[in-house]
Amino acid sequence: MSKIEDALNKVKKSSAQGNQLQVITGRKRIDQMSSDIATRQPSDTHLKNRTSSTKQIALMDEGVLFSNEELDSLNIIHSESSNSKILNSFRELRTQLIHKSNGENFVVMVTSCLSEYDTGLCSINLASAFSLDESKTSLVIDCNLRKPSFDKVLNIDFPKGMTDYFENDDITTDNIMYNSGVKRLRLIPAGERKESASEFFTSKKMRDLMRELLDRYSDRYIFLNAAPIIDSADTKILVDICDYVVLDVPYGQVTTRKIKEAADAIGEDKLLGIIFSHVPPAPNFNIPGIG
Amino acid sequence: MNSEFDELLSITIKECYVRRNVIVILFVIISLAILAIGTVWPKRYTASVLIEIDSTNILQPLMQGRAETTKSIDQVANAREIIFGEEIMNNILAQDVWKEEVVDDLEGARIKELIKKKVSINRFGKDLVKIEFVDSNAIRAFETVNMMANLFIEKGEQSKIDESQAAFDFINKQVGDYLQKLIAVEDGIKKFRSENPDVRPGLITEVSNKISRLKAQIEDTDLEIREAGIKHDSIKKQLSGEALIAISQSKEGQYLSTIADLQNQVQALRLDYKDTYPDIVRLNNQISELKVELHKEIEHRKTVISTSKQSGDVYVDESILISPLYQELRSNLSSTETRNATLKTRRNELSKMLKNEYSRAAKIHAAEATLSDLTRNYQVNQDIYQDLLKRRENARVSKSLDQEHQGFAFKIQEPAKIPILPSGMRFLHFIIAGPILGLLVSIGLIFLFVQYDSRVRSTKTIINDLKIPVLVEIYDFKDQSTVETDRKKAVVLGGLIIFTAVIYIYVSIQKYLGIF
Repeated sequence: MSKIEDALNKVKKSSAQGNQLQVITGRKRIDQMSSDIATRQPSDTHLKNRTSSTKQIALMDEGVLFSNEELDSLNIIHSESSNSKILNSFRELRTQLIHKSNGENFVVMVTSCLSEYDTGLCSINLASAFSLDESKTSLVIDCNLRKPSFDKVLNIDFPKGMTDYFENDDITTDNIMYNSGVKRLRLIPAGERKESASEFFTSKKMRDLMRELLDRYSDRYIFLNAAPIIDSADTKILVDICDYVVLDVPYGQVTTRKIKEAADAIGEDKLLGIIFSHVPPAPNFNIPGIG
Repeated sequence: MNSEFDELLSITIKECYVRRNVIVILFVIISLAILAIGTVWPKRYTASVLIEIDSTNILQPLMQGRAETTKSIDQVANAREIIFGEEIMNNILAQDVWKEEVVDDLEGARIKELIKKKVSINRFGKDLVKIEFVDSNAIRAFETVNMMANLFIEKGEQSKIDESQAAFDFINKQVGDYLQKLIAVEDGIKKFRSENPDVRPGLITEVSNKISRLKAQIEDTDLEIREAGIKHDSIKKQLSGEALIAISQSKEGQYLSTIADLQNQVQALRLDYKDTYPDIVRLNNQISELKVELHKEIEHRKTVISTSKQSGDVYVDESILISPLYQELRSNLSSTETRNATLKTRRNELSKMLKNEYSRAAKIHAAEATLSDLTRNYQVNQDIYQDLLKRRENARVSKSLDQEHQGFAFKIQEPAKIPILPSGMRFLHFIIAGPILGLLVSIGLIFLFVQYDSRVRSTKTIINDLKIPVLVEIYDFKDQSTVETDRKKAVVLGGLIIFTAVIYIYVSIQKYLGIF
């Protein structure tokens, strides 16, 4: 553990420099990461080029990537996921979204109808599903400023995020965009925890940010991880910014009334549909006649 | 409905899997609890005896209409009354199996009540009565029910015998009473007969016949008397003057006819001769002479009649007196008078006889009323007596039937057996019921929970109720640590189940070895 503490101290010291990636938990890869800390720079190489070729995507600086085992332990899908059912589900979801948008890239918000329910993993997995395709990149933004979750999901401490971007005009998008460790997937963390972010999301800066991010690559798909719409005004504001909304409904935890409330808050035109998640895997009883 | 149920079932299975901890713990608790109950559950042995109380046996059709077999109406109530009677209960308590427990009278009374509660008497079919006794001791249950059945049969048959004996005695007494009555009435009739010997049936018709005959005779006699009177009068008239006149008139007739004859001759002569002719003159003379003669005769008769009228005597011409006709008339008259007198005497006699008959008829009527009264009495008494005699014989046969144990069959259809296996819930039942109930209850609770919990567990609910499309269904992630925890949990749960099974086996072995 002393090694980890060392690493943490190092990180804390270097956090003053702002744009360096920090590692908080003690896993095998942490050592490697802490030693490689310099390589985890926010990618600014593509900023000036508004190109969108597969070649260029291939040239993306991906930084250090998670191994398949690491992704498995983080519950993030990858092309060789051991849990093919979950992988296929997300692929199916991707297909449906692309079909809906007629091939255009878009901004999709992932929210939930259950208080305190975290959609972070779902958002990242959805983004990962898009980035599985070599011709697509995806960006996932944590808009749940009250309860940021990306660092927990990925076991990485991100020094800067959305709040920093809004509060400090010196910070650019490049300063808050990180490599996720997943191929072709970038992310913008929430940053410092904030009770309310309405003023940020209603600001012109937010709209500009979205336009900028969306316009930079025509094959980039943006995913917003939003707080549960039931108890967050921020999320309701975000509905206007995004193109589509998907509602994450966990199995056996919400009533239809709650879903109805959430759906009404989102509005029919934006709500694409429901992701019915956390469905317990059926035990291996092969009872005929029961689907 | 089916698809809905399938859905519910598949969700239940999913939930069971998710909540397997709860299920296993519930299962273990319930099955162990049931096992515990099973070990302390009291054993109950049931001994029963099936008694046939048959009121229709082979003799009944044979004796149809002759002997009345005694019948009992409510056999169960009857049996209950007999068995719960003090006599049988005391007998049962005196048995060895109960003796030890009866320490004093109070305890005895308490045990009696206890036994009554444990007895059940039920009717099976038409004539079968089942007596059941439940006890914690098999031998005691058997002994008690056996005793009950035997005492019940004994008592039942005795009571039937007593009943038929009582019936016979009653009828017998009635027969005696009626015999006395009959004899008294017979004596009455005998006495009356001796007092009124001529009073016999049909006498009244005889008397009335006689009366009518007498009446007819009297009428005939009256008629004859009138006839004889008329005859007498007419004979007397013939004998009187008027009869003589008739005769003298015949003399006058002779004269007149002679005159007429002579005048005829004159007329004939006048055709040829003159009145001066001698013959005519002579004839004229003769005629005048005859006319004088005739005249004389008429005068004579007139005087005779007037004189006879004056004297009142019948004038009889001498010439007539000596005529045979007159003689005959006289004798006729006397015989008619005699007959008249005889008839009158006879009529008097007949009237007297009629009077007698009338008085006799009145007497007979009174006697006959008395007699018919007596006879009717006799008849009625005799009928009843005959009937009672018949009944007494029936009762005698009935009594014999009961005494021979034939009329009223109490048969033990199924004798009591010593119960080897306890009745009701046995330990084996608990062993079987424990796991089954544990599983059913825990899964049932999950099923109910799933059915009544309003939280969404199926995409169908969302699609059907909210009409919101469900894009995809994503299974729960299972990372390494979860799998690890699940495995540990599975080991613990499996251990629990094995632990329960071991306890089951251990307790069962102990139980069958008779340690518990």
